[in-house]
Amino acid sequence: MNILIYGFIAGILFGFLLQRGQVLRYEKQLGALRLLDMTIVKFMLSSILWPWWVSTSSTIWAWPGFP
Amino acid sequence: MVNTFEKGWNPYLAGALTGLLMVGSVWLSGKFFGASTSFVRTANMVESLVDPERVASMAYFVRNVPKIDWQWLFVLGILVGAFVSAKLFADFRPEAVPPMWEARFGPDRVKRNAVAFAGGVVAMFGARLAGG
Repeated sequence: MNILIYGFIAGILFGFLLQRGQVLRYEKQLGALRLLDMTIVKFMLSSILWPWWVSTSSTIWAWPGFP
Repeated sequence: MVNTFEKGWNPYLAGALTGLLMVGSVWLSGKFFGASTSFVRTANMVESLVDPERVASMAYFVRNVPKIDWQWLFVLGILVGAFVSAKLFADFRPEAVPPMWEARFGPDRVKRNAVAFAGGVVAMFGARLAGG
């Protein structure tokens, strides 16, 4: 049951952010496919790179042999 | 409330928050974001109402039991969250024929809906072909 609630909450937050980032809009979706509007590209790259940066920047100093 | 239409949040900010949400979801529930399996499951549920014997005998449905799971509620949540977000920030706007479409193909709603439906079929076929 808990896992279902997590799914629902994650979905609500995700939907909220998609709408705020305007990436659900027809103009943005088709704009991305027609290479006219990079909003979705910015959104997606940011969503991937940001957690990557957070996770690496906090551990990179602990790597053995890192100058 | 001020009309924030066509403004929204900076996509870099919304994307970054989404990234943190994805990490949090995997951390808390071990689930990665996905959507298309839920459409298949919903189709299965509808089909189960019409012809349960056929559904029970199909190998795919035996492997992927039609049931309400994490992802199904995730997809439902997206609808709810997006609607709440649009209402809160006053950028909810039903649009039968988008201006970009109208400029190229005219104001015919039937044509627009038919192409949107066909596009949905192609998109879903592709998503399932690629495994989600």
